[in-house]
Amino acid sequence: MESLFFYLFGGLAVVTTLLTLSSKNPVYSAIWMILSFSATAGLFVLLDAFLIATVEVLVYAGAIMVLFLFVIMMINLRTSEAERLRLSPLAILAALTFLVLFGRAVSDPGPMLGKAPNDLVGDPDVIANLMFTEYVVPFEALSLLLTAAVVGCVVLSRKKVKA
Amino acid sequence: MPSFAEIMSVYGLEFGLGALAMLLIVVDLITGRGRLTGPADVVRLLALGGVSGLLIYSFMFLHASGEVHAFGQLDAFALYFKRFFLATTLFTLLLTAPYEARFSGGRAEFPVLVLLTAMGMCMLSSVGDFVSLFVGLELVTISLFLLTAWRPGLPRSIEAGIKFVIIGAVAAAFLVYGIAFVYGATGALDFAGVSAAIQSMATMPAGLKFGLLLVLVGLGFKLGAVPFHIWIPDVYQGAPTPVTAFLSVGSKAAGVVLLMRLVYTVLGPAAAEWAGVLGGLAAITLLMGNLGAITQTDLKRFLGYSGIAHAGFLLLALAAHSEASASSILFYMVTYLFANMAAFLVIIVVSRTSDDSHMDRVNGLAERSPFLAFVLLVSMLSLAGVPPFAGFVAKFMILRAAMEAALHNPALYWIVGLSLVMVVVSLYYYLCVLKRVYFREPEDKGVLEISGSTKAILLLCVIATIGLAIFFNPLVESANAGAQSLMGALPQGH
Repeated sequence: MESLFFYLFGGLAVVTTLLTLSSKNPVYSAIWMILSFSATAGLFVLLDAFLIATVEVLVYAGAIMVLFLFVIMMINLRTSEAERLRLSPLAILAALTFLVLFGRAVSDPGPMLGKAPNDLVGDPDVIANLMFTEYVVPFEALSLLLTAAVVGCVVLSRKKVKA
Repeated sequence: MPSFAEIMSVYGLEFGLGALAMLLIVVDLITGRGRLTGPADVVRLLALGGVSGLLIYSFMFLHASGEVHAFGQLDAFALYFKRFFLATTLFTLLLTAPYEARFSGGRAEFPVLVLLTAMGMCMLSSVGDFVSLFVGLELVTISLFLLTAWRPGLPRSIEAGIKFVIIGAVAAAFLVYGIAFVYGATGALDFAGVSAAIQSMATMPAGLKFGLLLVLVGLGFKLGAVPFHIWIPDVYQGAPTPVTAFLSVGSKAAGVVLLMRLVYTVLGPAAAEWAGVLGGLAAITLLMGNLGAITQTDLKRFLGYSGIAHAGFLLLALAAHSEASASSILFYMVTYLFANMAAFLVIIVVSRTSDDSHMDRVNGLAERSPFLAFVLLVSMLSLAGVPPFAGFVAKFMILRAAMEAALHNPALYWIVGLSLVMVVVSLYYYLCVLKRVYFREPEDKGVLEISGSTKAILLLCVIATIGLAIFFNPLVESANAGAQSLMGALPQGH
């Protein structure tokens, strides 16, 4: 039963992501992307990572995608001019190399495969504890990263100041 | 659970930089009402004072310790790089002063982002797990995206920013994907755990190799190693010149510090398997960087390609994988810092009137300002690795370490041979620039006025570049200490 859902959500994620890439209309792209995020959230549920699944739906599929749609509508993006994808031989070679290496990596992923995830992994308690003990340094650094992003965005989007 | 004091003992400097950045925002807010020029100067001076203070503090009061915490460590290697990053930041802020007039806005915010980038860089030299590594790297990268696009009125700057964001995001994706594979294979995210898992395996599973390869791609992007160097010329050209200088030294060093930490401590003995990959990267990086530089007509693009060539040398030293080669990398970075900062400051001065960095700007510089011409001479010859300058000592150290390592790994002879050929090639293009300086007719015959502070900074770079070629022992000793702590202190499990 679980594997049925895994293939359902996994397949859905792959298909919707491909549709995101191939849609000519940016609004359709954005909507496919919402579906893709939801399918990924389903995968997280199957892994018992409920908090991450919730965050995926609330933050990504909810907040971020709404923002995306707003921007698309505000700058009034039209269906993109049918720009043909140009494939250079080098790009194809790189992609094929990546695929071959990826295939080998997946066929021999190492000893940890198949070990059950920690039962508590989806518990907000555990995540919160880790965040404020073991990972407190990167957590604090992240807050400064966001500050940097906000300061930069304010400067770059400000109307030109008359000197 | 780590106590606050423990964290501060490792990340004290980062705390200082972050606090300083917050302070600057507040100062700008209080003093900046209705005025445009005043607060920027105040903020910049505060930033300069603060960073110099932290640099002095790091020399006088900070000591390396062998203690390895779960969240990071302050060994001699980390301390060496923290000082290096602080010095780079100081130079970037000093370079901003003569450039600042060209910003249309955001003069007061500029130092804030520079400080936050510096904080990320310093953090990277101490990190002990992949989560902090990723966060630190993003702090550096995202701040640099913004700094690159800091002149919204200039299409070149915006273009550079967009290209940097897109390629940077792809590189970050590779890095995270790689970290996921490493975690999947070893079940650990901290360096000690990953290293222990690797050493317990008879052979590396393909998934782990794939993951490490992707991590290498993500870091190669920072370093400017060849298949991942596409962004360098455009971003270097479009970014405001102080930012280009920061990118070329700081961002490259951030890649170096992480690669060294991963190759020397995480891979440990298993690194021998990777000598081939690193050596191959070194070879194509040397080749493409040096050949690419020949045809450049823009000074910043030119220095971008020259930076790629230097990344090739650093990769060669990494492939050699010995204590001597690690120490030579540390020394190399410092000589690169002084030579590069001097070159970029000269670019800022000569592009003052026309605001671009075409090579014609330095034509006949010797007539307009013999001092600037001399500075450029010293910087170019040091970058090329010509004897009386520090660049020579640095290149010599790397090649000697590589030759020693080649005794066990004969393939390195080929790369050393290639790098020697490339040194000759690089001499050609560095001399081409100097030919313009000394033998071409200037477009604009006016004498170039240089302010006293600019002169002082340039003089400092020149003295350091010549001085390090003669009195290299103290720096070599601290580089050796850094290399030793990197090699010796294999992380214990905790």
